[in-house]
Order: sequence, then C-alpha cells, then structure tokens
Amino acid sequence: MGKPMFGALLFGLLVIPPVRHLMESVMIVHMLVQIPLLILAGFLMAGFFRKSFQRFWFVWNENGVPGMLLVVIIVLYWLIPRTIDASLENWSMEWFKFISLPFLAGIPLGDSWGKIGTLTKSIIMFNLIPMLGLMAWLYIDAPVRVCNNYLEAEQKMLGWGFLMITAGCIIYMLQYAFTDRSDAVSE
Amino acid sequence: METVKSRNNLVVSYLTVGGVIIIAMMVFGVLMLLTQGGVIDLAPAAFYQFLTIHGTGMVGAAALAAAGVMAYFLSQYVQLSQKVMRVNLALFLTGVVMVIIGVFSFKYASAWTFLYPLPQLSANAWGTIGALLYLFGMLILGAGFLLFYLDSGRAIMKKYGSLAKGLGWDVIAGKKSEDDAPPKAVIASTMVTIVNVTALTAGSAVLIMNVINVINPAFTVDPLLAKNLTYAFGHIFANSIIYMAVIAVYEILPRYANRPWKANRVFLIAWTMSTVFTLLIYTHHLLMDSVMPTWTLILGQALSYANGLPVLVVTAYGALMVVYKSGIKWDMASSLLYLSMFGWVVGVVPAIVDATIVVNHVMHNTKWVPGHFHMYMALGACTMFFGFMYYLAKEDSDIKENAMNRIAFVAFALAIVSLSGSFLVSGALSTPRRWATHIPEWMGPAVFGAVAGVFAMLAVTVFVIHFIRYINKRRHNVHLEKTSHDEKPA
Amino acid sequence: MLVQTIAWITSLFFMILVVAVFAVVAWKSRERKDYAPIKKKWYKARTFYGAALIALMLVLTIYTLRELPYNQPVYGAGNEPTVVDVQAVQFGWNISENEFKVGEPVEFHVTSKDVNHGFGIYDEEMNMIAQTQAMPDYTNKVFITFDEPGTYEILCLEYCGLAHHLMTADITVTE
Repeated sequence: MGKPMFGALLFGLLVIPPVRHLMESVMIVHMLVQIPLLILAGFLMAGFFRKSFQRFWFVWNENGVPGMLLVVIIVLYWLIPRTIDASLENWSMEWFKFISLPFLAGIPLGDSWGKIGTLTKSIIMFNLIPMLGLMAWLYIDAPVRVCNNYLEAEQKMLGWGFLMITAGCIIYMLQYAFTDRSDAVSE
Repeated sequence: METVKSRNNLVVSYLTVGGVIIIAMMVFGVLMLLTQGGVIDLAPAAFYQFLTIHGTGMVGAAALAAAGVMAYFLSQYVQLSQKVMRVNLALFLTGVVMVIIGVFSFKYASAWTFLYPLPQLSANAWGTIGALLYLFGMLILGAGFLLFYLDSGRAIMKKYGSLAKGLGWDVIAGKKSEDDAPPKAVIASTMVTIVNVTALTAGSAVLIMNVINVINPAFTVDPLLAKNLTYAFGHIFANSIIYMAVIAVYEILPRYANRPWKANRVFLIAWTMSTVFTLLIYTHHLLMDSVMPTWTLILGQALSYANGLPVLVVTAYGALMVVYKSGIKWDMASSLLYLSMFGWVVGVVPAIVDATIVVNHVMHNTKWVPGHFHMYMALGACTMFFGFMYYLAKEDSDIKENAMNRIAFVAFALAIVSLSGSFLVSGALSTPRRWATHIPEWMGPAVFGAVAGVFAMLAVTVFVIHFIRYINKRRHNVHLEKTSHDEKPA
Repeated sequence: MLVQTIAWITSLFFMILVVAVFAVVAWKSRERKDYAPIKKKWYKARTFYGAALIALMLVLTIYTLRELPYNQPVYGAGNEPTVVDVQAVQFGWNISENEFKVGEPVEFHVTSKDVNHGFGIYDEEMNMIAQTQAMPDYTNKVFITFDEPGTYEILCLEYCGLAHHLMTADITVTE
C-alpha cells in the first residue's frame, strides 16, 4: 500500500462524522491535530496527483514557490480564530476547510517541498517560529474569548500548545544547523 | 558572468549607503548635543525625533556596511547568493524610507528601542500611522537582514557541513587538526549568523506584538516580556556589527604586517564564547528591573565581564602581536584598522564597569552609556569598515591617499575620543541620557561633545568622499584580479 | 566616595593603560623582527595575562555582588521601613509621601500607569544616588535610608515621550 493510499484513508477517517465531532469538540485538538492531519493527508496523496497531472505541476509550480505561497495563504487563513468559529457554525465553511487544507495546502506542499531550496525552506521556518510564538501569545494573553464556540480555558490551553510547537521548531532548527549536512544543503 | 567587479558592486553599494547615512546621522547627533548644551533651541518634539532617527539610522547603516565587509570576505570561501544581497539592500532602503516618513512626517519618536507600550501610548504626540510606518519599516529592514543571514548560514553549511563546523567545534574537540580550522572570516560569520538569526526572530515577534497593540490596544503584552524581547533583539543586533566588521582586521592587518594570523584552538574557543555570551548578556540592560529573577541579573553582570575576555585575550592581543616589531606599512587602511582595535578595547572598559550591578544602580541610563558605546561603535566598529573602504580602494584602483586623508584620520581619532570622553564625564556627573534639555551644570560636556562631533563628521565625510572617488576609478581588468583576491592571506 | 567617582577613576586607569599598550606597540612596529620568537614569547605571556585577567574579574565579580540593591535590608526591631507608593504617569510622579527623616529606612514601591519610566533619586548636588525602572503591571523596589537632610529630586530615567525631561518631583528630608 503506497503513501497516497494512506493519505486517502486518513482523509476518509477524518471525514467520518463521529471522528470529526470528537476532534472539533476540543479546541486544541481541532487546531493542532485535525488541521495538521488534514494537511498531512493531502501531503501523502500528493504523489498520486503529481503522476496524474504532471504537466499541470510542471507549468504552474516549476520551482515550488507558487505552491508554497498557496500553502502559506491557506494555513494563515485557518490560523484566524474567526474562520475556525465559522467552520463550526456554517456548513459551507466546514466543507471549505475539508477541501482547502488537504487539496490546496497538503498537495501543493507535497509537490513543492522537494522543489524549493534550502534557503526558501529556512525562510519559511524562520517565519513560522515567530508566527507560532505570536499565536501562543495571542491565545494565552487574549483579553476576550476569540472563539464563540470554545471557552477561555481551552483558548489558553491552545496557546500553550502553540508554545510547545514553537519550542519544537526551535529545537529542530538547532539540531538541523548543528549536525552535519554537507550533502543535503542546496541553493 | 560573475566577475570580481560585479561581486564587489554590492559590497561597494552596502558601504556607500552605510557611509552616507552615517554622515547624515552624525548631523542629528551634533544637533542634539547643541540643544542639550543650550547653544541652539530645538523643540523637544524635534529633539526626540532626531534621537529616534539617530539611533535607528546609525545601527541600521553600520549593520549594512558591516554586512558588506562580512560578505566581501566570506564570499572568498563560500558561495553567497547575489540575489539575496540585492534583495537585502532593496528591503533596507524601503525600510529606511518608511522609518524616515514615520518619524519626520508623522512625528513618531519612540527612540530606536520602541519600548512597549510607548509606540501606542505616546500621550497624543504621534498617531497610529506614524507608529505603523516605523514598526513596519523596522520589520522590512529586519526581514532583509534575516534573509542575508539565512543565506550566509546556508552557504556555510553547504561548504563546511554545519554551523558547528563553521565555529570549528570539531577542531576544539580534537577530531581535526588546527591546520584544518575554518578561516577566521568563516568563524566570525558563523557566529554572527547564529546570533543575528536569533535576534531578528525575537525582534520580529516583538515588533508584530507592538503592531497588534497599536492597531487594537485591547491586545496587551506583558511589559517585561516585551522588554526582554526588545533588548534581546537590540543588544544582539547592535553588538553583531563589530563581530562582522572585525573580519576586516583579521584579513587585512596580517597582510600589511606580512605575518600569519591563523585560527587556532584558543581562537575557536574565544569565538564560541562570544557566540554564547552575546546571546545571553542582553539582561545587563535590565539590571534596574528588580522584578527580573535575580539570577538572570547576576548572570548579566558575570557574563558581561566574561564577554570581555575573547576580545581582550584573543582578538586584540592577536592584533597587537601581529603589529609588534613587524615593520608594518602604515597607510590609511592599516592605521584605521589598528585604531579600531584600540577603540574596541578602550570601549570595553567603561562597558564592563557599567555592567556591574552596584555601578549600574547609579549610572544606568546616564550619558555614561552612550559614552562607552560611542567608543566601540564609532571608534571600533565603524573605524573597521572605514579601514576596509580604504583597503578596497587601494586594492581595486590606483587612487592616491592625499594629505587630507591623513589629517582626517587624526581629526577622527581625536574627535571620537573627545566625544566619548565628554559623554563619560556627563555620565559621571549623573547627566541622564535622552533628555532634550540640560541644567547648566550638565551643559559644558555637551557643547564640548558637539564640537568634537562636528570634527568627526568632517573627517568621516573625507573618508566617504575618498571612497566615492574610488568608485569612479575602479579597474576594469577584473578577471586578472580574481586570482589575487582568492589567495588566502599569507 | 561616590560610586560614580570610583567608576570614573577605575575606567580612567584602565583606559589609560589601554592607550599606553597600543601606543607602545605602534611605536615598536617600526622595528622589523622575525615573528617566530615574538610569537613564542608573547603566547607564553598571554597565558599569564589571561589567567591574571580572569582572576581579577573573578575577584571583582565576587566583591561587587556581595551586596545588591535588590535585597531588602534587615530591619531592626522597632525600625520598620516607611513604604512609599510611587506611580509614574506621562508626565509626572504620584508619590504617596514626600517628607522623610534622616536615618529613616524608606522603601519606594515603584510602578507605572502607562509606559516605562525610570525612577532616579538625585541629591542636592545632582548626583544620582539610586534608581529603578517604573514599569506598568510590575512593582520595582528601591531601599534607601537618607543620610543627609535636604531637597532630593526625582528624575525620569527612561525615555517615555515628548515631555520626558519635564518629569521631575521633589522630596524633602529633614533632621
């Protein structure tokens, strides 16, 4: 069984209503588990779509930068508390979440990640680190409930979750920069 | 096709832009001292706008020029991206324009430290637009530099395998012999890459926090967290300037003295120490915040002392050994580079004194502080790239150094020593820094400093004019030059 | 002796030393000698110089860290400190009490209503004798016992906006 099959299975699993409801009932799981898993599902499926639409990817995403831009825009969009709220209240938004994250973020990510150079990757990482740190601050320190559907305590927990991820990214970058990778670095 | 000339074009642009901005910023410095000295009557609003632009502009311009020095020497060992250097320059100029508009058209005056929540709470002195122009200007400027250091990090890792190897940790550990240690330009660049990527990440976070607070004051930041992030960014970024510029001393002075100066184990350990200390000692800016955990402040003092060791025992000592009884040929480049080492070391003394908690208790935020940093920034860091500018001019053209340059050298040295000295005297007299007006007892040193500042400014103008004259005389047979450039220092 | 004076003399001493070293080396640079023996001799000297420097710094660090301004003094029985609440605002000081006696232990609890300010206490000769930061949301403390009667001045020591230099206040100390 190949990676795309896994991706499709994962996507199928996430769509099942009880799984979906369970995940969305807790803010931190919704934001930091469901959303990343949806992206991962798309990422795993990317191989299949790359084979099927080779010409499309070649024309539109030759160096990986347009794809990454799309990924960044979609991810940024789903970091806004209001959109999360809307996805719980509005069916079309929920649909859009389940389509956009795997197909407009995950798949382009799968196609682009191998194409972009080390420099672009590191730019993305070092934008991600302060951004995630800021999300942590925003959720921990927000003076009001930013989502109507979740309590403030949940919001704080999500903030600490973001902080853990920020710390994780920093540790990852440290080990990346301080262990030998003479072969892996490209333009 | 890449030639020495095209590669150097960017370095030359960095230095020219840096040099010209520095002259302009010196004008503001002189005007501030004249106001404090009671010689001219500047409105406080204008004074604090000058204060903001002077600090921001000096740090930015010096960082750009120093980055030019770093790029020049680093690219003799690794492949830096020309595109990134161009983008950095473009973003720098964009950021500068935004900062200038924010400060002068929208009266923004938070000082270059933009300490939260001052950008938003100005007591109606400036509005949202001015604050946003300044903060976004700084963000754009920072993004350019971040790009530059990410590229230098990438290039170093590509050639040497990792940043750890760029700092020569495998040599320190004894896995490789001292003869295989990375070149000094690479070691210094690795250090600066590490500290500045950290600084700029912290800086962008606190800048965006301020932006959000300015747009919607309901979102507040813990003021102590903001202070820590701000000083982590400001201290490290400003400090890194001298660590970039000193590459010029490492590379050029031994050529003039015709003596080798290679990285050995002690040298590598010193630079690793500098890396760690530079990241940690920003807490010496918070010594008067007793709510900070006391251990961080004690560490701030202890590590600030220790941070003097690498320069006092290794870099300056090494430079003195290279020059001592060497029969070195003194021209503008070698004189300025030697002077710069003096400026750094002499500035370390009052800096260490001020990092002592009991001293800081009565000297923090007095003019003692600009006293010591004008020594190692103006007489240290800036003098390093002025020296480099003369070196490059000589290397790359047949321009002659006339008597005017030598007069400017002497004037510059005396003027900056006098300026810094006047600040130190003011500090010893408890004169607060960043005050638009002075009581009569404090005016004398300010006037003295202003006069010294005028001479310093004239001298720097001579340096920069010499450099601009060289640009017109650059050689065109650059392909022949390439080989001589790529030779390692003897 | 004032701390400022000690700091000034110490700095001046070491700065002159630095000038002397750089001047001597520059003067001696006119000779040309073989580098190998110089290197050998001065690397050896560096070991001593480095060790001496580290020792000096250690001694100074330990000596200067014995008593920190952050620590609350030990008050004797019946000698309770006067606690003074200080709130900085753009651009002035709200001080709960501004008359003190010589020898009376005083604790200034300093905070700010808006932005960062600095709380600096100046004596009659305009020498600073103590300071701390005035921060919103936090309270920093200054522990002080005035030895001399007179009018002391409070100056703002952290840039806080366009009237920063006008942010002063007086306190009086009597016998």
